[in-house]
Amino acid sequence: MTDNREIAVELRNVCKSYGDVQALRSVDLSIYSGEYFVLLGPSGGGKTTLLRAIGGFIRPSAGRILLHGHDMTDLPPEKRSTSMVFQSYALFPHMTVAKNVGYGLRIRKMPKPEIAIRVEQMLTQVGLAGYGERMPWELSGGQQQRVQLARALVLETDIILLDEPLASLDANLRKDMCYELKHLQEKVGITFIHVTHNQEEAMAVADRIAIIADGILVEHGDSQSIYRNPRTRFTADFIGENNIFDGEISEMENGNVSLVGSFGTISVNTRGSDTLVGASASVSVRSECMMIVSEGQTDDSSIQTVSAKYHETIYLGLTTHHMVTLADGRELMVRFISDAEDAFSMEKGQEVLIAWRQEDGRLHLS
Amino acid sequence: MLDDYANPLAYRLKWAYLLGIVLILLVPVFFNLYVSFNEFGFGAANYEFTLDWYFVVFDDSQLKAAFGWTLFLASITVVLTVPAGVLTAKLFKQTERKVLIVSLMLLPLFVPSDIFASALLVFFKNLNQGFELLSDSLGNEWFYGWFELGYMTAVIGLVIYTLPYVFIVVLITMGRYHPEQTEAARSCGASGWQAFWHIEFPQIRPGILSAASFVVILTFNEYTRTSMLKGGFDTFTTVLVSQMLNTGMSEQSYAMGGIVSSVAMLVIGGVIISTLFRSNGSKKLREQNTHQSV
Repeated sequence: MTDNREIAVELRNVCKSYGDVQALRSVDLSIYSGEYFVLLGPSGGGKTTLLRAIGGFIRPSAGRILLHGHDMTDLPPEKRSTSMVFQSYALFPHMTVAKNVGYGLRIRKMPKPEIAIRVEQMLTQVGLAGYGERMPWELSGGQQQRVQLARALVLETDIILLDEPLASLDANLRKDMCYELKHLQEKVGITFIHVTHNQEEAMAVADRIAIIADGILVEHGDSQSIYRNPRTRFTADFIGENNIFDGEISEMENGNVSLVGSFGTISVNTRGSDTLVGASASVSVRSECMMIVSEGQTDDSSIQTVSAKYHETIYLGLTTHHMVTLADGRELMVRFISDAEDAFSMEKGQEVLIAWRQEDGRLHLS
Repeated sequence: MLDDYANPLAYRLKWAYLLGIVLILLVPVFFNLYVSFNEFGFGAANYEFTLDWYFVVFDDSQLKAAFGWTLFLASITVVLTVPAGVLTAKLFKQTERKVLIVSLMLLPLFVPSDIFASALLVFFKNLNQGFELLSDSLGNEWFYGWFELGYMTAVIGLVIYTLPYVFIVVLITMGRYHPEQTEAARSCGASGWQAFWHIEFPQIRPGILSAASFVVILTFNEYTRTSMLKGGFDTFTTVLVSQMLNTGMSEQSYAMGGIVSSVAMLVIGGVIISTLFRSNGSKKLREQNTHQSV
């Protein structure tokens, strides 16, 4: 979608080691100008390290970092065209909101009257008009984060780096701030690079998402394709609520393969992946694509089924989760929209069939 | 009351204990002040308030000169020790071998003052001889008297003595500073120095002021190191002690003690009050952020 756009950030083989620990392993990535890009992954996976390397707070052990085509690897943060928004504590407590926002302009030796005008404009943009004379502790958590955002945006840098900016906010505020961040980014049109471990947050704001774990860039793509068609088993396990079957490829025919495991045999489309009979592979199926069916409902050959035993039902308001157990003891989750589901009752230990359409299965070779 | 279920009597006893400790610490100081305002001096049956002994102190030219020298000594020591201590604390925070460094830094505090002073005295004597030999070998007098006992050796002794105190006081204050603020400042375009000066320094200023006050008080109180390393000039404390040794405690001595303790209490009190006011804002912000992240 964005391939012909200007590249704002280019990472070439970026590595970072702390002694024996490799925080980043050969990361290659391009982030486009004006894009809302999210680095998503489990805690300790290296996403913050990568963001801090882009911002100049960490020097990579190897590799190059280019911003708008210029090599910035050896430059400190103040020499880069980036601004950073931190998770918390990063407002200057001895300065008013206006002084916090105007600090970068003061460093640039901008005349005071001009600073005052720019600060007021920026506070209005983030919805904090009239808050300039307040001290940081007089603001709520969401307001403090908006001040940080204003402080970053007022500098008119090309790239804003956001390190878990919503992590210290409560759930409702986080959701509101997600939308605000997205709208603000669309309005100002500059590159936002946002680190989070929260997939809902990532989905809400991102144009594209990169999954990072164990210092490796696992995969990247637009939010929908990452959710619907994860390339790797890790992504399928991390994003959404997927059920994963691990096994061995036993047969290949007409672009479909059969995967054999303790669950039985299931068929899945390769979607163009090169594979061999005998290779280890996994199939993932989104839990909302699965159904609990009776024997007569599975006549269609494109419907895949596995036998399981009903375990329990968990009602979560919007959705209801039915937990079932496979013969090897592994648990699967079948998810329904609560009100759309016909009420049915099952007893613990009752034999059930779990079914899904063949096209809902995704083959993972790594 | 912190514990809602605490026995009220035990609660009052705790407060009484704390009050008792404060009284034990302050009674000698206030008793000294009380005596210094008595026209009839220490141990007299009568008490009549007077400021005469203080006027006597301020009229004593030897004492005034000693006071001036001590103040000068304290000023130079502050100028040298405080920036050195701040820099050391800042670099210490970035090091990995913290236990080793902090142990070495604090070691001078555990050396008895007379042993410490004697060691420095011998060191300076030898250093002076070494420099004289160097001059002699060069055929000139350039390095003569560099480390003869005097103002410089006294300052060096005081710097070595007070630096660990400055280091520890500043380090404790820096512990409350969140380094993300420095990164935020760098991200706004500030250099490392600008980030320190604009953002970190105002927040650790109470600690730096406390450390500077501490150095002044330590310099005024120090006797052993100063008397061994000072050479020809006198300091307030050396005069006070020599007067006590030669003529015993006079009313004038109580007045001198009163001046020193009053100034010390005023300085420390001022620093504490200013710190309380300044840290109030930071504390509120930290508490707010802590509550949000819970």
